[in-house]
Amino acid sequence: MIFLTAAILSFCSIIYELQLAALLASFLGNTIFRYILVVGLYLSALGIGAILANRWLKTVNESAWFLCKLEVILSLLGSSSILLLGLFYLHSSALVFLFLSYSVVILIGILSGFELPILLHLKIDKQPAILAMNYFGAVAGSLFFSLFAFPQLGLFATSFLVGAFNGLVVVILAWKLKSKFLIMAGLFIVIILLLAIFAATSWQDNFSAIFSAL
Amino acid sequence: MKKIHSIYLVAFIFSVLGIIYQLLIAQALTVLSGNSIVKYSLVIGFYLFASGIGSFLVGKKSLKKIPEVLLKTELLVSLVATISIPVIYFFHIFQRYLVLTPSRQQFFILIFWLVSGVIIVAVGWLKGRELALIIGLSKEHHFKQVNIVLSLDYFGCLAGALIFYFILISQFNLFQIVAISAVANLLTVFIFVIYYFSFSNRRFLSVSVILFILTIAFAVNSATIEQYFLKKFYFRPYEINFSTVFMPNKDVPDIQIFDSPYQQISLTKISAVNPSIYIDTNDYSRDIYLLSRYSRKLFIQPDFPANYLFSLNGNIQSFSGSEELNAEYSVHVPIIANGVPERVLIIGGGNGITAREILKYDQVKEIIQVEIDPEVIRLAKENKIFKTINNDSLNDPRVHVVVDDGFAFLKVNHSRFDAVFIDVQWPYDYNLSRIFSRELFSFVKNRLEPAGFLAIVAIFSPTDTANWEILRNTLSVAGFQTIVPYFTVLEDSNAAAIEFIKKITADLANQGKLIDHQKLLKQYLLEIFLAGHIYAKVQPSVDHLAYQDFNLPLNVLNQQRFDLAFDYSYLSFNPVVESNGVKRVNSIFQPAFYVLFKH
Repeated sequence: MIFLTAAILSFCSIIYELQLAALLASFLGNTIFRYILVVGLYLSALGIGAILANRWLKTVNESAWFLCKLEVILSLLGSSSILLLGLFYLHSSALVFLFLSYSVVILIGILSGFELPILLHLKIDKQPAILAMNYFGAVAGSLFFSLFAFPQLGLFATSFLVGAFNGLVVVILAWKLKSKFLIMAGLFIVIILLLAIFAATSWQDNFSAIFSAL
Repeated sequence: MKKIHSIYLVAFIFSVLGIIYQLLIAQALTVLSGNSIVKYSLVIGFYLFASGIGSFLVGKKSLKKIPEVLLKTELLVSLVATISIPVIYFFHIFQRYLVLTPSRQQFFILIFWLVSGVIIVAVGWLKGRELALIIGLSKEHHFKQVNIVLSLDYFGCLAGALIFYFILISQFNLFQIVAISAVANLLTVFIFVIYYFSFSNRRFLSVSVILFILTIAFAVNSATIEQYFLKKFYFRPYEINFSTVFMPNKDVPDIQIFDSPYQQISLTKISAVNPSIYIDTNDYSRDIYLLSRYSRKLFIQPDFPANYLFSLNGNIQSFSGSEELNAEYSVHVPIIANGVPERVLIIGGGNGITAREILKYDQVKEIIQVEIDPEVIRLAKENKIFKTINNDSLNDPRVHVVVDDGFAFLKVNHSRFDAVFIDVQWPYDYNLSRIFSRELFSFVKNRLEPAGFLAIVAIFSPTDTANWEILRNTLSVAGFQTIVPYFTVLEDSNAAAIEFIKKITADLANQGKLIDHQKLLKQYLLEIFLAGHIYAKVQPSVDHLAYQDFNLPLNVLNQQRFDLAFDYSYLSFNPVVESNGVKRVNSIFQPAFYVLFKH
């Protein structure tokens, strides 16, 4: 189960970043620069997150609880990031938009940075395999996003789908921790986001239509 | 300097170099195969995966003799990185040879991607090993130092990415960057290992000195190497023969490359007299001779630089011998059909050809030209060949050049225009797709005067009904009620052109073959020159204005050809077909125009 978790988490976090890069490139132009900057910031933020995780977290139990709660936040933030960035773009000046959007990129990066050290901490004897699965998730995520999700699903549906995957991790972790509340919370997120996928096309459509008033 | 500090420094430098290698390979694949977003995502994904695996598979034995293993690893990294770009280019030449040979199985094309994949994985693998070794070194000092090394590794990625984008790619070609990085890599590891570990194994030292000299030689000759691959990219022999696939194109003049962080800009001179040279299997010299039967350009301006190809990232934008054909149709047909505008916006079109045509109208008061790449603008304003081709249009007092992205410009600029020209090549990747999105079209609609029009300069084929439908849906969703496609249609009854066809088929006729010259001419015209254009208006209107002669110095367009441009029956094109089922619309949230991999 922990291998699956490791793969899903890196799959989700790389797609969160790639979709933000795609949207930023659309809004601001200069595509290659946006991708380079987002990937660079993401990796740096992962580093910061990893350092913080090593400083803050002491016991295994503490780490597991922290990770579970963290994933609740990440699935909510990640799945709404496209909508958030779109709203920032419509309602703020250029500089404020830059600040807010790159803050979201860095925030998701830092939060994702906690994941790997905690997972490694949870099962010390399986570290190599956990790392391998984590890397594998990142490849799968970059392939899935650039070849399929972006052109076929669109950014809205992609962000909901990936958020739902992330919610699944909450359920898995909460199951291990035997926390009924977090299981319910996780299931709630998964169900809501899966339902949202059905509405994603029309939301995306409505959101695009708002541009015709600008 | 304390030993641990030098470990930090080396970790940082290696991480900077690591991301530069990744971005280099991604950029090479983008230039060769298009769609930057797909290529960058794939390279970064596979590289990270390989480096993860590489870092685990460092055995305990290796960790006991780190300096030696590190030196070995770095020698390999420098070697693989140096050859990475040339190998990718070589296999691309090979791939094009396979594509052109009908008897080859299509899956052989995968060889190119397999080789590229192997190179990415090899570099990633070695870099992963290297990180594990550096961490091993820092562990000898104190366990806490590992975190610092790791975080320096992450920050190095950001620094390297910025260095690559802001300094390297806008100053050097890919071969130079690879050589510079490899030299830096060798020097770093050399100084580090020798200075701190007094490691002296003669064999390693001699190997690394040889490698060092080779890398320097590579760096010095990178301009020649680049020219070899560029010529292979733009010119290939018409006779497909394996023995000549990798032979240098000696009789081709050097290709001029202008470095820009946005794209590879190139200007290629083709010798119009040598019929053995062909570009993309099109015979440009035949085309230009045929076109000269329809165009007055080379009669009026015999000194016009007629054999230059202008390309972006390897995609041909215009051929100076025949550019007037599409330029006149894409500018004058919509203007004659809708009325002469006073304020005009051009999005893209940095080469100044569209502006040149629009400036022919005295009624035009102002042209705002929005182009993202300052290097293209600089060329159009300063380069002698560009300036002759575009008649120095961008230095005209009526033209105001803005260096900005079209989407970003339209969002904040709320002034009104009588006409908007989108002069960007037909979208083949996610990046260009957004210029043809419903969001950008909505911006354009809101900036147009009520009777204004939008003209799309990008050309499409009348047989490409799928993309035509998406474009029509997208324009219609954005609020354009009149969407008119038209085509560059040259009449097949032209006596001079038929004479030309008779001349080039004389040999066949002498052999007793029966040739229908008019049919052959029509076939040539449809194959070579036919291009679809689109103009759109917010107002619903049944008909366009009739042809009007403004007494402009036009080379191709006349009343007969203007009327033919709207004669869809000539092309068996049906623009009113309603798509059944879901209407596909191109949006920035979901691109609909793209090619994932092109050969």
